[in-house]
Amino acid sequence: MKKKKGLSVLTPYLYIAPISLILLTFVAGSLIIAICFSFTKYNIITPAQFNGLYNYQKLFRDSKLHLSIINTLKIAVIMVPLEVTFSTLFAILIRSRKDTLLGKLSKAAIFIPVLSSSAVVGTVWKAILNGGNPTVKTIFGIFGIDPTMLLGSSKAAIVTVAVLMVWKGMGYYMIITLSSLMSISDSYYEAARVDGANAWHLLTRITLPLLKPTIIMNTFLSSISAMQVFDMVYTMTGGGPSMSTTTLSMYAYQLTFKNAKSGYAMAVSNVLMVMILIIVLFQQRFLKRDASEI
Amino acid sequence: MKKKLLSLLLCASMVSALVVGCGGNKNSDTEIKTETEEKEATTLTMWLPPLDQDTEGNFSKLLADWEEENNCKVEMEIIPWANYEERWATGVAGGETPDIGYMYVEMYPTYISSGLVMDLSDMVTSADYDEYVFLNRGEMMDGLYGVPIVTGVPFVLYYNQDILDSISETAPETWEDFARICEKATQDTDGDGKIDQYGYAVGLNSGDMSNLYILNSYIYSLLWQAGGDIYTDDLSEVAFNNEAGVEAIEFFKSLQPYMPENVMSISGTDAFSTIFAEGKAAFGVTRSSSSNETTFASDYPNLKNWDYVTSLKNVDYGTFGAADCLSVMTTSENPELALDLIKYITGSEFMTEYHKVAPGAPLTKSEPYVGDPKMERIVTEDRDKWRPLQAGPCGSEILENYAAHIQSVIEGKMDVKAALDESAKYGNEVLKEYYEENK
Amino acid sequence: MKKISNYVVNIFLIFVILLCTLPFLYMMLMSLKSTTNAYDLSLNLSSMSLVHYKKIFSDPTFIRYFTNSVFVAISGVLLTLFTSCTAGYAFAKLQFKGSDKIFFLIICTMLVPSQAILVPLYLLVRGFGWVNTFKALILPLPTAFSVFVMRNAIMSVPTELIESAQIDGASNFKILRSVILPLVKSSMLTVAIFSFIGAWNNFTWPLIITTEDAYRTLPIALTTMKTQYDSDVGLTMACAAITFLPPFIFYLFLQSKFEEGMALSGVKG
Repeated sequence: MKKKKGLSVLTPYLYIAPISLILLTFVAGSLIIAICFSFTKYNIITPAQFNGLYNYQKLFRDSKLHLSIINTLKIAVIMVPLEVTFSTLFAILIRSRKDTLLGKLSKAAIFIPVLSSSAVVGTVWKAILNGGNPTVKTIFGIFGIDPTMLLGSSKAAIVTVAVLMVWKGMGYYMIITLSSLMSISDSYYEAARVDGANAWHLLTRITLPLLKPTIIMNTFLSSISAMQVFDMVYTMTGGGPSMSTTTLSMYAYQLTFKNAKSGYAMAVSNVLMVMILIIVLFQQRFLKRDASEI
Repeated sequence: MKKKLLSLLLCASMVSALVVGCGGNKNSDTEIKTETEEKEATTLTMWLPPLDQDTEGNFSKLLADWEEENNCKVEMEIIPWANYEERWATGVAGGETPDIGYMYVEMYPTYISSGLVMDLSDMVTSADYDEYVFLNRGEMMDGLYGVPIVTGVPFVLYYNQDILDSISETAPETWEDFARICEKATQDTDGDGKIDQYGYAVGLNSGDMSNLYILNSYIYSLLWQAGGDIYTDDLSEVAFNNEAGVEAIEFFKSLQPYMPENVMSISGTDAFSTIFAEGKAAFGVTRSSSSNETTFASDYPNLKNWDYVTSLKNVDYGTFGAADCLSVMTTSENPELALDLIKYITGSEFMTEYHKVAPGAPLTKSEPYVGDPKMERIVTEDRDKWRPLQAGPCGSEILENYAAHIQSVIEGKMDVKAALDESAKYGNEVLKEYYEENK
Repeated sequence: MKKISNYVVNIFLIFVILLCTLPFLYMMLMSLKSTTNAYDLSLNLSSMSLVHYKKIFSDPTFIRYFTNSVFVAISGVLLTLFTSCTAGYAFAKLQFKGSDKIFFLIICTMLVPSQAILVPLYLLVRGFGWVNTFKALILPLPTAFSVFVMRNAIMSVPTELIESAQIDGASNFKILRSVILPLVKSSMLTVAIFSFIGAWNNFTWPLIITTEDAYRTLPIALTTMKTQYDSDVGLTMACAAITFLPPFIFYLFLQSKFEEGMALSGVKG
């Protein structure tokens, strides 16, 4: 028993060792390399040469970079609220229909887009929108939209991409929200109903407060994925038209692999990471208060 | 229930142990293998993109003889187009390069100036130039850096004969002809008040394929026909905003009323296959193929009567025809053998057979033309009307930006001169920086 | 009144179901068309063919790629479950020095965009001599996200349960597997599904870290069929469908387990 006591101080570290080791090696390790390279002139092919803060100074006068920061923020601003709202809404609607066929079907259906890769989703939607199929045109026509124009203008393209990201990702958050909703016991609702609460009260007094940690987590996860959008843009618009959908991660990608400016690309990625960090910390401040979650 | 979970966890640890063990073993296996092989036969590695739907299968069949004769094993790696440059970049960064690589013009400047591509000038003879008819198109940046393997398939202007007949026109020769026919062809044929037949099927969406596809299909031809080019001859500055450059884009913009309304949304390939090939436009552009007659007949049943013009003429002829090459890497231990392999692959014996499975223009004098007769004039009388791109520093960066500005023009966000000047300013800055850094 | 609003919601949900599934049906439909009429939506049987699937399945190495993909994905799932359950438990229920700080650092790794570290990661893994090994494909798969999910799930397990097990003399590991994990089964399934999708759809990493067919995965094999100016929509869609189906089947499989689990806990509770 006494021996065990001494060991038990170390036990928790033993439990976190596997994941820590993996993340430390692969993510932290690569990150350190990336940071080192960001102080060099590096085209991947010839050895890197130290050039001090040159890359970071360049950040300030690079108009393409500024444009891609704005595009990235635009996508996040459209995507995060929609994704969090819809996933919560669907989770609540499905929770109240959990035993019906419709509830089960909706749950499965909303999750389907999550199962496929962004590249596949991008290809399929592009084919749908641009295929010129009369049936598709009619369906979009109901809403007064010409599907073939959606990817064609700078204004529409970025919204289209962001909305499709929501379509692709909301199932993810819906499932997370649903699993925490399932853990809310029916007895809470029954008791409240006995007290004469209506549906609105149930929602605002019981469901949403209990969901708060989950919603915070979803906002956090959705922001991260919005800031890192890549595949979808790559397949749907290639960053166009007129660079209107070039995001930060896409710009860094182009710099690395197309323009042989990896050193600078790593400086750009570091900007992206700092931006994500700031946004996440800000959100936590803003939303946190009583939630002990990250 | 508990048991299940326990076994799950046990499995996890077992698999991770297995994986580590497995991986280790495999690794040492291959090491041993290569050691023994080296004594018996040399190995040449070759990186290729997919050139047909089973590139590796088709190539290895045809390489068997050569491998036996030279006691050399050819190891091919087929790299998907979508990630071709990533694979190269990471490979090279980690010190792993092939002996032979398939490269295209946008890749060359960086790799050449980094000293990774071997200059073959001293290794080929004038007899080679005679036999390998496109060899001069592997010349760039003051050297011969590759032997063309995929070429002779330029982007040409296809036309729908039936539409031209209906408006009593014949094949266009000049810009004026082209613009006039486009205008006449743009019609509402079924009388519902909406245009349903266009002059020119153009698509400028850049997803999936790179932005550069826009330039390949529609822009280089006009630029060259107007007498302009991307760079000045000494590659010190960009030239696409000079008079000829502006004229080319002005002309392109003037054709917009005859293009489909969704020109910005659809991709170039979709514009061709869903608009031109459906008989809904007088003109369309795509990369030609010597088997077009056969493939169009089966793929596009609604396109009955078609022909093509290799290039229009304004000041000059010109259209884009890539010359993707096989190059020897300077890291290769057997450069002579590698060049020999390249010559074999691009040579008559190999290509005559290969072009039966994957049609293409003959690369050598002694290779017979086996394509459709209609397409033959591209490699005979029209041979000088198409050419590859100038290989210049910062190519992708400058061209991507140029393409984005052309999108702005067609979108109506900028006028031609302003867009080109802005793009040229960017291009010149990038070039200046490049030359300063690489003095 | 209530009934009407209920109907409205139901109709809305049906609309959403269609919105989420139709694109995939469209994908399947297009994959059955020959190139000529790939954009044509008619359900006429004579215009459909399995030609693209035949082409894909006739590749002699298809089975090899498929097994590789399955092996990598399943190992990735097991490894992720193992690492996230143990770490999640430690962070949720065990007291130790630096717990908060370490957890925060782990979460911070989620902020690193995978595109940004592609080249450094390659250099690193190559430095280990792991090019063309399964460990290079599998070991980087676990993410901080799964730790996050498991920690949150385990936090909701009542501490009294753990304490009473401790009084009975159960070891930490026994508590984890026999008390906690059965209660967070649904979260484990969520993690399993997400990590399967992540591993299965991973494309760029397997491409650059493997050069030999023996280690290549299915998505890469499928793209090597696509030539440069290919506008073969049917074939593209058939490839998309084949990459989509395994995660879908895995999901359906786990989903049925999930329902089972829910039902069981309902009976018990």
